[in-house]
Amino acid sequence: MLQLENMHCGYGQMKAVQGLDLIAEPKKITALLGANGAGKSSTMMCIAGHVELQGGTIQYQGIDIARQTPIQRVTAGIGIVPEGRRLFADLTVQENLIMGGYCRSKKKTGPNMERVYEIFPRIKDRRGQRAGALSGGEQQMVAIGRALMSEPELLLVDELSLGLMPKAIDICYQALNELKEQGLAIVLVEQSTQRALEVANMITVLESGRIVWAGSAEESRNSMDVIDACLGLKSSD
Amino acid sequence: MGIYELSLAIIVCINIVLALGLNLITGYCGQISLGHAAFFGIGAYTVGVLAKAGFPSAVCIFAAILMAGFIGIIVGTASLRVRDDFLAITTMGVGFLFLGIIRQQEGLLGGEMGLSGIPTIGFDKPGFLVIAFIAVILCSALSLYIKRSWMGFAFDAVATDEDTAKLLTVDVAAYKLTAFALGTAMAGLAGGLYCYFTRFIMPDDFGFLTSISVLSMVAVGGIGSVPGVIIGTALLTLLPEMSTFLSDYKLLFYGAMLFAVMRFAPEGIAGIGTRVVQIYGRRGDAK
Repeated sequence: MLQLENMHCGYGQMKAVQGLDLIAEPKKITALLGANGAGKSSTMMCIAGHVELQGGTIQYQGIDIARQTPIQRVTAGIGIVPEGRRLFADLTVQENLIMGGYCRSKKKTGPNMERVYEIFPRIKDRRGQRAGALSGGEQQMVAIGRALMSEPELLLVDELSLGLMPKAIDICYQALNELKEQGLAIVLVEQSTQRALEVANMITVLESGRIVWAGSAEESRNSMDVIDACLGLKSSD
Repeated sequence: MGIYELSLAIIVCINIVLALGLNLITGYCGQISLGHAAFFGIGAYTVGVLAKAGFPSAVCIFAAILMAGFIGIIVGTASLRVRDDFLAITTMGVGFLFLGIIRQQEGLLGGEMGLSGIPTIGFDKPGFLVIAFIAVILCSALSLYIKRSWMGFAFDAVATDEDTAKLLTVDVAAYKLTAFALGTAMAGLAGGLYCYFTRFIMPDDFGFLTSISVLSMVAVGGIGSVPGVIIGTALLTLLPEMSTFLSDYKLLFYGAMLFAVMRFAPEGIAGIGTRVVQIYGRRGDAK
């Protein structure tokens, strides 16, 4: 569904990612791991069209989308849950969800919102509250829900577990699994390696903008040493 | 109502239309403008020139609205490139640029001496008040309608977090320009009415101090709240009229009010009102 080949992206002179190959497929979760500054978020924003593509190709459903605007990409089915959630703090939960469905017809707002509430019953109870007054976990649920309102087929999730309590992380990962079963392709960026390895089907490890390890979930189990080393986990022991 | 009270009421109405326009830009869409008086002036001078050329008053007012809105879109494009403080400085610059142009155009726009001898709109004072009042009703209704519509949502999103709004495919640029177009068109309407009301306009009426005064009215009333802006405008227009002391130190008074609101009640009079209702509501529940 999504295929990056030898992708380079960055900010002018600053090269964030160099030569990344990445694939996302329906009913699969692709995890993108790496330390701070490895280029994970830049990759996500580049797929969404907010960071400049400096080389290579991005294909989505067989079409080169490098020249498409962010709006066209969302309309084509690429939804994004941004890092740090980025909710509209002064709007209510429901209004945040409505904003998420901006690119779809208004008639679909109702059914799509019901679908979100089915996945996250917890935020249904809080739909009238200001999003800024919610706990971190609930905010993340709203952020995922907001992305779902645009009816994505490919969901980009940036830092799912960052700053959340364990129970909220469980709920969010459960939701990801559910969405995967429903047929979505998911690209997940995580700092919490353990969590990501548990759910991912394909894993790519980045360091300073370059791939240092890539493979399937099974392969990763046999090369945990390598991955740990790549992520710098070993040296801290 | 005596002539004096009538005049005051008309000025209040004109200021409300002007403030509601700024409220659309700054309150709804979050784009700071320190050059709102320029659009007030564009409306006034459009009416002044056209009315002296003999056009009927309805045409003049309509032209004032279009002209201010059109230039508002052009100035609004600045908001696509700069944000926050920088946008404030840019719009402030537009205000000075406007004054500079007016002051130099002695032939057409009267230069420093202003435009005088503008024909009457064709109504007496009570009639004029009715027209100004209708303008207030129309602008309030439009503001309230936008607030509840899809556009109000989008404005909220742009005001809160532009980048996220973009992420959700909101066409940020289009909404910003719409806010500028509508807001400055209202300023144009206010300017047109003002010109017909005083029948003598000069550059100083539309200077930086007017921009700051309007901003104070919006901020004191409650940024983004239509009833708040109406009350704030009425208050800040009438209080200096009621006391010579306040009138002499009008700008000091506006500045003090602006400071007090920012420090003690950031949501202005509207915010205080909401809080009072909440407190009384809670007491009612307790009983």
